[in-house]
Amino acid sequence: MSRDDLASFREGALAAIPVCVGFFAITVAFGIAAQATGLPAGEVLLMSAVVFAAPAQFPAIELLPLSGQAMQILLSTLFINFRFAVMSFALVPHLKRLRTGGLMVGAQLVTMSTFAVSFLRFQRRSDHDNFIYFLGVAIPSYICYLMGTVVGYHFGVRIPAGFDEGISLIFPAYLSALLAAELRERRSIVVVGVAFLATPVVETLVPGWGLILNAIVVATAAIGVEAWWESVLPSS
Amino acid sequence: MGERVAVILGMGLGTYLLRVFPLLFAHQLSLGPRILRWFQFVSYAVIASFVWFGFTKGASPAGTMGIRIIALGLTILVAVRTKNALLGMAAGIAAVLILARVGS
Repeated sequence: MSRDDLASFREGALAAIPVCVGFFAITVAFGIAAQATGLPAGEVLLMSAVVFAAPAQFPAIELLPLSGQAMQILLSTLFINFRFAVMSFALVPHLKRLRTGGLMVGAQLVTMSTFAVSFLRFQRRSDHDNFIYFLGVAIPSYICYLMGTVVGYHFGVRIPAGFDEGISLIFPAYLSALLAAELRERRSIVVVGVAFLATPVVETLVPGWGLILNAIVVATAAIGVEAWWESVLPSS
Repeated sequence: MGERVAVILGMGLGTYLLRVFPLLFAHQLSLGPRILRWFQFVSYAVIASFVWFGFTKGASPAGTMGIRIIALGLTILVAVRTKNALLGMAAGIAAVLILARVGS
């Protein structure tokens, strides 16, 4: 690894600190919940390692001890994690020069948080070091994720009362701060604002799909408006 | 135990395929500028939706919701002013912790 690569990795790792704290807190809670269901430690850690997506893991640990639930668990996992396909698509233009082996390893580390932190950096500065930066964000986050699972399962460490509210908001606060600090283009700012406000409406209409469906609808509408605007004002 | 492990591995495989297929095969499609722009907008919109879910999850309208709205406003204000996301986040979290303590 060259000096430039190390610097990019370090830049990603620093940006991942809030993600690590958030992942650790979430997976401690996951470990505690999984231990309470009676699942063995090895299976719980295996799930965190291969799925790496807490929203799909929490329902799975409730159903896994029951028999005959395999299909329901697998289908719900696919539906809940469908968002990763959209995120991977969005990363493609920024990881063009990467070989297949690198993509296959990196794919496992795509989550909402690692994607968001990396994507916003790529909007500001997209370069040959994109993948190293992504790994800098994702590898420490993955380690924190596994560590939190182990700590929660074996030690049942609970977040001190009064701090849980703050810790639960680390992710959204960090992402909103990243958006606020990084976004410059007016049209993208409008998309963010509309998507934020439309989320509860779409979530009410189609429960469970507010995140991805809302994004697709808002982005499609924005593209339509942008195309119309450019046809009306070709010089803008 | 064997069935549970198989289900967990199936969860992992399904999730991995969702992650890896676009990365491996999307570059073979010739994505025009409009499609790339659409993905850019989708990404921003997904992040914005995630922020909404994160800020409202577990908050009751009469209880912590007001505090969270203030925290979100402060987070954005500090991040825009300082161009520093970590500082913005710290301001928002500090506001939540202090206001929750004052209110209790």
